[in-house]
Amino acid sequence: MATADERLPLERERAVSARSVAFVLAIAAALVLVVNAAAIRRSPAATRSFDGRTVAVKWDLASKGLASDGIVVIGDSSGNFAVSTDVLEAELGRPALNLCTYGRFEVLGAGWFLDRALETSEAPPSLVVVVLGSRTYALVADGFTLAQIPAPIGSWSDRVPGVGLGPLDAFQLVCARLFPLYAQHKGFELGLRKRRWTIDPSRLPILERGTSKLPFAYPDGVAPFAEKTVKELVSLEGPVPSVRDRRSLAGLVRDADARGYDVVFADGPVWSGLAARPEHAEFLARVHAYLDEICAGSERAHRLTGGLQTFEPDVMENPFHLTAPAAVRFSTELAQRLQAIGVPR
Amino acid sequence: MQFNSWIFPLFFAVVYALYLALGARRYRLQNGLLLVASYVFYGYWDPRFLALLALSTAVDFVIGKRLASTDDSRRRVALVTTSVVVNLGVLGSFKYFDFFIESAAAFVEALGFTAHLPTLRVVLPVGISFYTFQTLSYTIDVYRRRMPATNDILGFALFVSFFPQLVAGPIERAARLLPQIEAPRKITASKVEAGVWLLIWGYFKKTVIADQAALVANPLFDGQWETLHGLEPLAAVLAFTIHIYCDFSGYSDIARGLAKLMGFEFLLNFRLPYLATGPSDFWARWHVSLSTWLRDYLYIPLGGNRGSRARTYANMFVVMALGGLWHGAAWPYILWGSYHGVLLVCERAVADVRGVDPRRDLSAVGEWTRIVLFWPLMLLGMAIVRCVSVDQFWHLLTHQSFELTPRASKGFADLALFTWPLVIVQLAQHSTKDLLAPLRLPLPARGILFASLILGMMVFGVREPVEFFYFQF
Repeated sequence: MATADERLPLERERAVSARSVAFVLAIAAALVLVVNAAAIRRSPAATRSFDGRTVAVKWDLASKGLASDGIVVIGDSSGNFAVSTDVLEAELGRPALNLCTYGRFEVLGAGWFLDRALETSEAPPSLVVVVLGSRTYALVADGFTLAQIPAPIGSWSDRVPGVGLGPLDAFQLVCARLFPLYAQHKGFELGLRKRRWTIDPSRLPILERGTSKLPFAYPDGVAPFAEKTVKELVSLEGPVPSVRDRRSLAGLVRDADARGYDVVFADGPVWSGLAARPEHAEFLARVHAYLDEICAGSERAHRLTGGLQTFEPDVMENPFHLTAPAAVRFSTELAQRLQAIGVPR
Repeated sequence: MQFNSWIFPLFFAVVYALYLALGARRYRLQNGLLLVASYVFYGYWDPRFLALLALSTAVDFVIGKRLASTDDSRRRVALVTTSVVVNLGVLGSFKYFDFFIESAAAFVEALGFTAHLPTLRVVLPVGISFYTFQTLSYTIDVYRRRMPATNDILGFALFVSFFPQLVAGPIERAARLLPQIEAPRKITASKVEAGVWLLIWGYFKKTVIADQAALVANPLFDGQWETLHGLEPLAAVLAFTIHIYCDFSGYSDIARGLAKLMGFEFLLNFRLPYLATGPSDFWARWHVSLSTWLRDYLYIPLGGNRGSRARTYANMFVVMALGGLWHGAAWPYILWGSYHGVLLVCERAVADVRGVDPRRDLSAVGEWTRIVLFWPLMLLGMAIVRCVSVDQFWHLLTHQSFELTPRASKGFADLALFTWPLVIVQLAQHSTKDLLAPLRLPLPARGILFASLILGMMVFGVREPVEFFYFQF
């Protein structure tokens, strides 16, 4: 039997050698690295999640280069689902490629896909269309997020738009590559919990020229998502667009001027209910003001005016994502507006 | 700057590299480095509050020196009173002023009058309760002649602001920490191994167990509590119980691990409190640096157990109620402290009547029986501190049954998924009476354990830096 005080545990440090401590730490470090390497080798993001697949497919498309007189669309998921390359090609008579991915990559990451396409092409395209929803301007990507873009390590700082990543971003970028279990934890956690390691690509098809087809609407989720978005928009501190977005947008314009192609900034589709919110309108007005400012200094940059293209929840999965039939409507209107400003030349 | 933010590992890596480069022989330079680092660490939240830290440091350093230079008892009382008034005044202004004003207004309005009382609406400086108590221990100990006053302003400033324990403890005593600051530190292999273990285990407890438990508890308490029934109230309270322990003890482990890596030794703050056999045993295990502070600087000065039984009971209750108030300027904390005060008084009264020591010898069966019997009482206390209203508490209490609803089932499943490592480690610690029991494993097994916890954090750690619960205290 033990008294109360004797029952209390203590911390009993034992004498150990520095060598044995080093040995333990080396084993731990090696195991962590090996398990991470094995995990990503056995379960690459492209087969494990739809996000990972989208990024991999779009990067692959970008790596195949561009048609010299073609149109390339970059941007976030609103553009990924809303811009039909078939419609653009039919309306504008030029080959089109949709390299839109996700808003969480910010304008910076969207630009990297264009940069990848340009570095693998013999000549620049005729027109680059940047399609972004308002929410994307409120998102802040860290190094772990940007590391999901399969640009080789070392190329990040040279990519256009070059925005000078901070030491923390750079540290996270490297960590993300070394430790995919950390950087892609949601996919791995889901896999472990549900014991499901591969996705069925046919559930969210990506067509040959990069258009993703959203096969279903989710009307009930639109309004709650919009509320969340409004909170994100109003809570963004600092200038709108953010300093990094401004640098990225300006970088895109500079590159267009330097290489001699047109760049057009277009708003993504949005739920009419969100578009009617004053917070949203005010936020977007600030974005537009900045875009107008940088376009004014360029022969090649334009902001597409004519108002937001709004849609109802029955054709949306969230306030920015359109189902395939609605995407045709959006793309047709987009093509007509492009023609109205005389692009592609 | 939070321990679980990405900036902290970079910050610590730089500080630690410089610390090691300076070497133990230049420990005063090391102290200077740690002081600058501590102010950067604290100023990262809000640089304005550095002034409070500096004020607290300056006042108590000067008062300590003056206490040392006089034997005039009236002057000594005046000096120590000044220290207490300044420190508690700052704490009271920032933490308690609005609470007392609003409580008074509510009371006046309950009597049928209209109250228009001013409030300060100031932001609570992070960790103010911790460093106020820490620096107070210095002047009180110098006043009591338990330790000499220090002449080293740099060392004293570091004692008040040392970043590993600045914002959430352990609340160090000057008599323990100052001598470590004012002498070269020795970093041994044993300390490094123990420090690394505490860091890994602390981060695991915080990012995996505590934050995942919070994901179970918060929706049940915050949004859906009026619909809770069956075993759902139990799931909610259990999840919060796991959350608060792993959050706070995780922070303490990280703080103590960092300290060990730099050759310091902090107080043990948690000694397996959920294996306590009763209220007094619980407070010998939970937030030990606070409970011993309250014992030494409040309970004993009030008379402790030297008076009548009634006086002893009153002292116990008052100390626990004030301990609750220390945790937060809100009625749930006061009620929680008072509840534990009642438990302690009841335990003591039963022991007095039966003539046995409440912390007497126990057989293994007796010990486990008491551990199990104490759990419902402890859970009740956790419900008090987490509920935001009497209605909510009453709802949880009256809608509890043994029906296993889908929501309860999911809650328990999630808790089981993330809590089993805690159970295994704590049973090993309990059976060996050694909190470093995992380091008794063979070398390769230790490496595998470290790697497993790190990999667990990578996959299951909650990402968004969730603020440590005790920061609000």
